[in-house]
Amino acid sequence: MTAMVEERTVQATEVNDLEQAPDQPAQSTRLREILIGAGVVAVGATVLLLAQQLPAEAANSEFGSRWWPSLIGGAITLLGLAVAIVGALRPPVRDCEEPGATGIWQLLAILGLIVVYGIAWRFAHFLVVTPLLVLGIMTLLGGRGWRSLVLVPVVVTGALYGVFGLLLRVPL
Amino acid sequence: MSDVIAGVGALLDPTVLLCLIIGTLLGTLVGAVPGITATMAVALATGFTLTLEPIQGLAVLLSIYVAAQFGDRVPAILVNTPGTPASIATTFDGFPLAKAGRAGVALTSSALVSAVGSLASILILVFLAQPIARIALSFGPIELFALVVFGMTMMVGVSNGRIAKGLAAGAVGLLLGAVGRDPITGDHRFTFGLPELTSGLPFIAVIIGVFGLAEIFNQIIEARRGGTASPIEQLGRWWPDRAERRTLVKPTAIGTGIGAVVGVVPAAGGDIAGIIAWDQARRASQHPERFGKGSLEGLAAPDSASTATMGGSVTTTLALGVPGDSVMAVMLGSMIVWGLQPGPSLFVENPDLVFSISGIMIVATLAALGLALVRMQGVVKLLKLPLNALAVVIITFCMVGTYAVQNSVFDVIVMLVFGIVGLGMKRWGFPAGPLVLGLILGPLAESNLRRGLLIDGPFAAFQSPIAASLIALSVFALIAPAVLRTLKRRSKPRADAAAPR
Repeated sequence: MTAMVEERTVQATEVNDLEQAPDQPAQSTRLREILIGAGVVAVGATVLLLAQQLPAEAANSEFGSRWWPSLIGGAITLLGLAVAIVGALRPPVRDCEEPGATGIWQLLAILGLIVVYGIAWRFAHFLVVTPLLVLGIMTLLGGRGWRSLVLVPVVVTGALYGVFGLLLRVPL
Repeated sequence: MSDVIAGVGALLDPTVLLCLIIGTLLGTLVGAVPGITATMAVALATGFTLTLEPIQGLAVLLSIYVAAQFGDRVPAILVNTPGTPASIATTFDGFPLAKAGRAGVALTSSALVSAVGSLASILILVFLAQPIARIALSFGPIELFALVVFGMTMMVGVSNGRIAKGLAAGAVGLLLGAVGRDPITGDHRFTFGLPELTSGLPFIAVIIGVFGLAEIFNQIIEARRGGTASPIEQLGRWWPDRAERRTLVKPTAIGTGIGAVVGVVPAAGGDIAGIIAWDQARRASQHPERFGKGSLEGLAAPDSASTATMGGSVTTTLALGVPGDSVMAVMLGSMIVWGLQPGPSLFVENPDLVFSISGIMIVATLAALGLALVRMQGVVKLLKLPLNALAVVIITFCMVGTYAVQNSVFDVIVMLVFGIVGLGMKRWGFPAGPLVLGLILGPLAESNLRRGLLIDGPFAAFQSPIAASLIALSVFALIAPAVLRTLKRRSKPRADAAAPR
């Protein structure tokens, strides 16, 4: 028990270290900010193009189906230019930790697991597939021991089924 | 007087009190779990309350509505994930307070000011229902559009120097709100042949994605190998001291006032009230620089504002038959089934009902406050979860909660997509709030602007003093910070040059 408390303290200290980063916009190069702005401009231009495929305005109305999306598309395009210009003149300050390769791999693997879970749920009951998903995520994120690999999957699945399946009568 | 006695007397039935307790417990629980909103809980509860007597059913639904407003602060403060949209602004200062080791004070203060806001709004329901309803009736399409613009610019104003990115996120949100049927012509827009998009993007799924999943995704990719996390370890004191309690008074008064006004406006709910109140409290504060970094004032204003919308929202729903927010829209349906037709005639035909409803909301507020203060010790134990367990709980509850809204796998896919979108926004410095607000309020903004322009012409906004004032305030809110920064920069070199060496 003492070891567990110590482990939690160390873990919490590590996390608090991570949490101490100031809450400011991400530091980036001017080039990156310009590319982000260009991306926003591309989104706006795409919206403008897609809006032209919407049903044309009625003859007696200039405020039809495509008017609002076109207005928003134009606004996004202009704002993308503004983002690029502001980013080039005053690049924002860094605020996020750089992502680690392990973290990115873990996230991609979790997303893959969720897709597999979605497919498996079509063929097996919620109470069967959900503990496996929880077990998979726990394992990917470094969970070891019976608490992480047995207790957590059982408790989380039970809580989900209790709240949604029994209390709120959601067909799981 | 006899109406008061009859209305309050109806609550003395033990079954009504039992319904109140069940509703309060359920509301607190659903509020505290990200992914379950008050709207969803009320919708699901409708299924088993339709067989009850109207007062019993109202006791369940209204107490869920009230208690969810208390429960949703917990994840907003502890894990930076709003339990419901009404607590979006709670995250601005609640989470920084928790990170600074003041989670206990934040939770207790939040519960106290939420109760003040709720009780004050019930007074509005009791005493000012008719006059306020008449004022709200005067809001035409262009005024409603201006109110949305005002709310969104307030949201962008909280972007801390990221005005262009905040506006871009808001514009993309408005665009996402345009997905589905055109609100006026009924034409399909941006549905790409998917029938699930006909009624628009599921905004609950988007909210859970960009606020809930994106946060935990970010923690996963930033965490060091083997590192595990509890977001907050040092909780600090539970009760605010005398000085802290004193600082709560002014922002709570501001929040309650704003919430009371916003609450009576149809469709404008706790989310917009909270954001406006946060911004106004910042402007009125002696320490605006602390806002967004863990200010108790910044916590008190939005929390009191969002609960203060409830009385006005119920007033609008009952007196006008127009839902004050999405929860009220669901409740409207239940009331019609019970034979209570909300509208101007309701109070004439059932004058005691306003007092029964007020009594239910008062008891639910006090019960939720008590529950919030008592169960906090237990809730905070969740903070000690390692990152892997926290991630599992959040990911699975978000998934199942999103699925449960409409029993739709498509909604879960949308949530996952917006979890990744939210992660990208977080990494690239785009605030998520304006996007979500744009999505929620987009249809309201579009339909009202188009109606206003069609009816009153292109200068409609300038013909309405209310709309013109709101838009002028919006423009001022966007321009003022930049102008002030420029003036400060220009005055600094002069001050430096004048300073003795």
